[in-house]
Amino acid sequence: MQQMTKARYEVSNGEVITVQLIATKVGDTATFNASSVTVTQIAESPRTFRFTAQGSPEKTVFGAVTCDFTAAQEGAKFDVVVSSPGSGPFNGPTIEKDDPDSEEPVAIDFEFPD
Amino acid sequence: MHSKLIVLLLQCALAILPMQFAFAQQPQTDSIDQLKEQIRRMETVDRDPSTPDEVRNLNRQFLNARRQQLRDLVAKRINELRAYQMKMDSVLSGDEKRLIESSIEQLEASVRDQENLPGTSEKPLDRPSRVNANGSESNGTEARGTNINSPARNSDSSVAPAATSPAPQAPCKGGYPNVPPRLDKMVEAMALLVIAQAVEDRAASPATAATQFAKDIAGEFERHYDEAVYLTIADALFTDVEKVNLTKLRWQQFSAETRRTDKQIGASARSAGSTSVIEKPNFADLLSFAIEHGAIQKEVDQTSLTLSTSPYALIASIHGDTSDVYQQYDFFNRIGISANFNLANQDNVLANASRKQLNQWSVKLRLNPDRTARGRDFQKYWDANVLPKIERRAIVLTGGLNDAFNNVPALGRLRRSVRTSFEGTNGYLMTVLNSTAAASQANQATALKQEILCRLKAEVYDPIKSGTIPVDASLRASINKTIADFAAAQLEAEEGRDDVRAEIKRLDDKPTASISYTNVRPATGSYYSVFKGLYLQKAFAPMKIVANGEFSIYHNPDPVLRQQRLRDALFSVALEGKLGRSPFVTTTMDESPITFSFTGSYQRMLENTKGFNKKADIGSGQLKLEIPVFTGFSLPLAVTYSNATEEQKKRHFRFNFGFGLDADKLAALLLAKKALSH
Repeated sequence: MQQMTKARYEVSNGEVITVQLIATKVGDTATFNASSVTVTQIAESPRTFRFTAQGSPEKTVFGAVTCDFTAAQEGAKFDVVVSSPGSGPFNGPTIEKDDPDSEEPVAIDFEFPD
Repeated sequence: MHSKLIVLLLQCALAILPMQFAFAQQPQTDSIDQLKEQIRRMETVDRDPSTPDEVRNLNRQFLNARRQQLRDLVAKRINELRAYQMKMDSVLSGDEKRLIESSIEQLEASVRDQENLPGTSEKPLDRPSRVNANGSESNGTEARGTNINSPARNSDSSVAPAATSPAPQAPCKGGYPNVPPRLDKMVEAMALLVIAQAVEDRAASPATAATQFAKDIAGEFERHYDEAVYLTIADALFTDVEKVNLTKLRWQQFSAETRRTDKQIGASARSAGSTSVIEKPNFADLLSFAIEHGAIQKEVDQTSLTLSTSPYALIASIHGDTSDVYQQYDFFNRIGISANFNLANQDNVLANASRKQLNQWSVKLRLNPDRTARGRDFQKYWDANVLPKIERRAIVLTGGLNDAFNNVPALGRLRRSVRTSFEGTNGYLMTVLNSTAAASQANQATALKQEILCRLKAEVYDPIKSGTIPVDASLRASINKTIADFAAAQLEAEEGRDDVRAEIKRLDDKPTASISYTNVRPATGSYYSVFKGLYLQKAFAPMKIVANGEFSIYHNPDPVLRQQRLRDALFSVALEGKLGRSPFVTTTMDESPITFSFTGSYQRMLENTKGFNKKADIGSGQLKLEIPVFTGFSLPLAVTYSNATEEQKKRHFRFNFGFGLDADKLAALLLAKKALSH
């Protein structure tokens, strides 16, 4: 896996990807979902998800992190950490309560290169 | 006369400019006309069915390069013209300005003409986003000299842009009329995120490398890029009837620690200078201090400083205040410690925090489990009831993106190619950031939002609308269903947030109990210890009832002063309510309410049972108002009647005031300022 940007990664077919959502000043009130793959939560705190990237060149596994800051104090944030065996961990997006998109799903793409 | 001269000079400049550009560019001798002619001839080869595949592929690479050169040349010339236009704005007549505009429009039209030539327009290759006809991204990606999109090919992110990096793009002209509301707000958020990242990177020391800067910018941009393209496609495809659901979609933005009123920030009732007859069972998570003037149970008026914190604050400062650390050190969250100091030096308040000035210290242990939004009870509730509602949007959205961009290759290529045009050191994003660097952040964000919307319209909406990129009816139906499902999911998410608020209120209404130990060290008299039980629970709405029961013992009772081991016993009860949000707090996110309380207390002083001019049974009644004046700061005001003090049998009324700071809320203030700067 290679990090192209904080929100985009190039992956290989069959690569096992781990996405960790590290909550600061807030409970584990965030989740990760992805299209076309089975995502399994493997730890509650920090909430950790795992899936196997499956696809062909030019295809993308569209992932999204959704955070809930409804009851969070100021300064609350979620740091996304992405890794796979042999690569990473990479710092993904940081979603802060004050961000203009904190209540919206934030994309993380896993692309299969050409 | 002057006008004519300027027009003449301008025309000369327009005639000379291409030559200058031609020398500046690679290949340097190519003018716009020469490039157009070369492109025309290469396109003829490309369309010729007898051209062997190998030759065609090579020809396409050259063709791509020429097109990029043409775009760059035109962009640079337009930039020059605009710069001239701005510089000479006060000098040029209306006719002259129109002449410049006309020249710019002609230049832009020349690029559009190239891209709309028959036989090439349906090929993504011809779009500014440079995708090969065979579907893969063209070498144009490399030609831009931006390794941001290809670190796999050049893993050194600090490498400077290639020498062949083209000139920055010209600003997009036009806009996106009737943009769907969600897309409009989404792009605004993207622009704000990008600008915030740019500000951070520009302020970084050492300076952020250009390619890393572009990569950071792209990371923020991509948080919603896929969905922005998706909504643009939907907008282009939908009929007016289908657009109803699209226009229903809203951008959801977020506000609760500031609402808490169950923490004891000031001194306990026994402290000199306290404004409280009663003490609350909760305590500060981080650090708080309160300066209060007056006395409740003392004869003398004193001003005191109270510092409060929790051991967890120290742990969090070492390990980070993350959820797993919070759960791991749950016990330390139950402990609060505080110290009260006599305020002798009012010029330097914190200088009073010395052992010499120490009036009392205390430790408090909360008996009930954590009832905040970080506690286990709330987490279980959230997982079972809120999570399915909150994540629905992501499930719908990622499914929709998969259908559109993975199952329809043309749209997948469009998504990637337009993204390439936006990103990199000379992409649309960086071009706007560079050209507006001197402007205010708000103006930078406005310009960037305009640019993103304009490009989405030109490079996504228009080709879809015109049918240049054909989309079949089944995908349109699928997108329509996704939009309808997403609208429903947004309602579910809102329900989830309502559930959170209701659960927090339910937990907040549950009884809270704690026990405390206080070591009192009066400046004159014997030291003693106080053991206290504190209880808070909901009464009739909107009131809460707070009760304290306590007794104290002397460390070394002085028989001369008729002191026994047991010093006194005290019981107090208060009714506390909220009067709504304080009108003095300035940030809209701060929900701190004005609180009021009625308190009654009874104290039995054993050493006063035999003393002259002393009263053993002391009763007090207090009316207290606590007004948040701005985030983190509150002004407690209290009027108290007592039938005696501990020292004298003398009825009195007392007016107390103070100034409390809750660092939990102060942290909120600092972050709110950051948010406001957005």
